[in-house]
Formats: sequence, structure tokens, C-alpha cells
Amino acid sequence: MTIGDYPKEYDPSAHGQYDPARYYGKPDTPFGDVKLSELAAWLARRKKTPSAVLGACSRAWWRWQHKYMQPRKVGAAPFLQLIVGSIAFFYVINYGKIKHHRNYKYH
Amino acid sequence: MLPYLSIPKENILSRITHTNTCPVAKTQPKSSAAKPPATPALVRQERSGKCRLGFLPEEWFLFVHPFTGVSGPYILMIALANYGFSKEIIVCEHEYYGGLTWIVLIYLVTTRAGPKIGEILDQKVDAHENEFKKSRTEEEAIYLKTIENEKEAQMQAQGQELLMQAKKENIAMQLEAAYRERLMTVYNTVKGRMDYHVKLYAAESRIQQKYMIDWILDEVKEAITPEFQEQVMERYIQDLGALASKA
Repeated sequence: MTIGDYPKEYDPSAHGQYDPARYYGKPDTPFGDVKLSELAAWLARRKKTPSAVLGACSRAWWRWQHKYMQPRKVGAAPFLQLIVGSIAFFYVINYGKIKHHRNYKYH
Repeated sequence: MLPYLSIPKENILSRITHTNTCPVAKTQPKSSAAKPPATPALVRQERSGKCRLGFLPEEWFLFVHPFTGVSGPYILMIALANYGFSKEIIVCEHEYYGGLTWIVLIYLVTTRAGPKIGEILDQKVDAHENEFKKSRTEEEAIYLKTIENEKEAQMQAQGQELLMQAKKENIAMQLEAAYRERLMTVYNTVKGRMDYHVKLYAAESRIQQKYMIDWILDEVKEAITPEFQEQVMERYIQDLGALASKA
């Protein structure tokens, strides 16, 4: 498998049209159904190779695109999500500088 | 046969090789391509997913409802914000108040002008989509028309068959007519010849008869001499006398 190829598990004759938001491997318990006690085992089962991480990011990106950005009639939600996300991101990376603007010495 | 057609297909395929930079296509076996795909084609959603507070997905709220109730996530957010402000993790510097202004502005713009902007943009989306649909339907119409024309042509071809059959029948009739005409000609010719022979025979026999009669008459006339006439006359008288004596 090289860059730009379909996932190894994807079989056009069985799966039909390729969905970039879909995981074609063996499905595990959805994250929402995982009990807290099973969380460690669930995380241990995840593949952690760079390609798997990138694949997960790509699927997340396309899921977001399909759900919020690409529908026919889009509201303000995806743009607000982008704004909030970038606010949080820049807040975190600039936190070292923002820290100096605190008004109180003791909390 | 043309020279390039005589090369077997396998030979051509074996000569074509992929270069290293060209990825080899994953070709599927043809038998598996015949069965229908398990998933339907991807469908574009009509609207974005539902969000609360403008950006938080509805599903996150629904996910925590069983544990926290309906107001739980809001309480959690208020508590987290309270904790953040209290510990100054969220620092209220100048950017924070700028952010508040932005929130108010965005709120006002999205609620007041949002629907109208949305309407205009939706119209543009519709126009864009209709353009694509129009070209698609137009092309479809062309193909449908082509199919119709093809069917008509097929019907006309069937008509040609009928016409051909009619022509064949016509020719058969003409042949029949010619045959009968020739039969008639033969009949008439034979009849004419036979009539000729009949007439010839009749004419010959008539002439022969005429000559025969003339000859016989001439012979008879020649045979009647004056002595014979006298003998005959004498015989007449004798006979008359005999007759008279009897009466």
C-alpha cells in the first residue's frame, strides 16, 4: 500500500462506492458504547502505526465534511465549529503568553 | 486479414508492462464484479447535522442525557467555565472581551441576517445544481431521442422486410403471368398449326373432289355417244310401253 491507494481492506465488489469516511477493517465496539472499564483494552486494540493514525484523522475529517460542510443546505455550524476550534487551538499554543495577563496572584 | 490482427491478444498484453512509477491497477476478477455492491451509493445530505449553541453537535448532548439528564451538559459547561474563570485558566484579558464582542456580533448577524443570507446562498446552490441537472436531463433526452429513433429505424427495417416480401410476391406474380402467357402462346401456335393442317387437308380434298367430279363428268359425257342415246331412247319407249300395258 502506497500513498494515494485505497485501504487494503477495501473491496469495490463487496463495498461498492468508496466512502472516505468509512473504516473498512473489522469493526470494533463504537467508542460511544465502550464502558470506562473496557476503555484501556479498547485503546490497546487500536492500531498505532503512523498510517493508521493518519487514516483515522482522514476519516474523521471526511465524517465532519460529510456531516457539516458538504450537505446541500449548510448553516453557520461548520464555520462556528472552525472558529471555536481555532480559538481553542490558538489559546492553547499561546497559553504561555496569555498566562501573564492574570489579574490575581492567588486562586 | 490485416497483419496486426493476426497477432494473438495474449501476446500484445504480455508486451505491455507497467513502469516503476506507474502504480499497477488493482483489477478485480470479473465474476465478483457481477454481484451488486453491499452498500448503496453515497448520498449527499440535505442539511448539516443539528447543533446546539451554534457549534456543539446534538449527539454529544444526547450521549450524556442518560447519565446527566437534559440540563446536565449545560450544568457541566457552566461548572467547567466557573472552574476555568475561578482558577484563571480562562484569563479575562483584552482578547477575552474582544471575543465576547465577537460572540454578540456573530449572534446578531446569524439570527438577524442569517436566514436571508441562507436563502440567497440556497438559491445559488439550487441554480448551480439545476445547471448540472439541466445538462444531465438534456443529455438524457438526447439519448432517449436516439433510442426512440433507433426503435423507429428498427420498425422501418421491419417495414423494409414487408416491402421486400411484397416485391418478391410481385415478382412471383409477374413470373406466373409470363409463364401463363407463354403457355397461351404455345397453345395458340399449336392450334394455329393444327388449324392450318385441317384447312390444308380440307382444301386439298375439296380440290381433289372437284377435279374428280369434273373428270368423271367429262368421262361420262365422252361415253355418251349417239348410238347409246338411241339405245337409251328405245329402252325408254319399251319401258313406257310396258308400264302402259300394265296400267
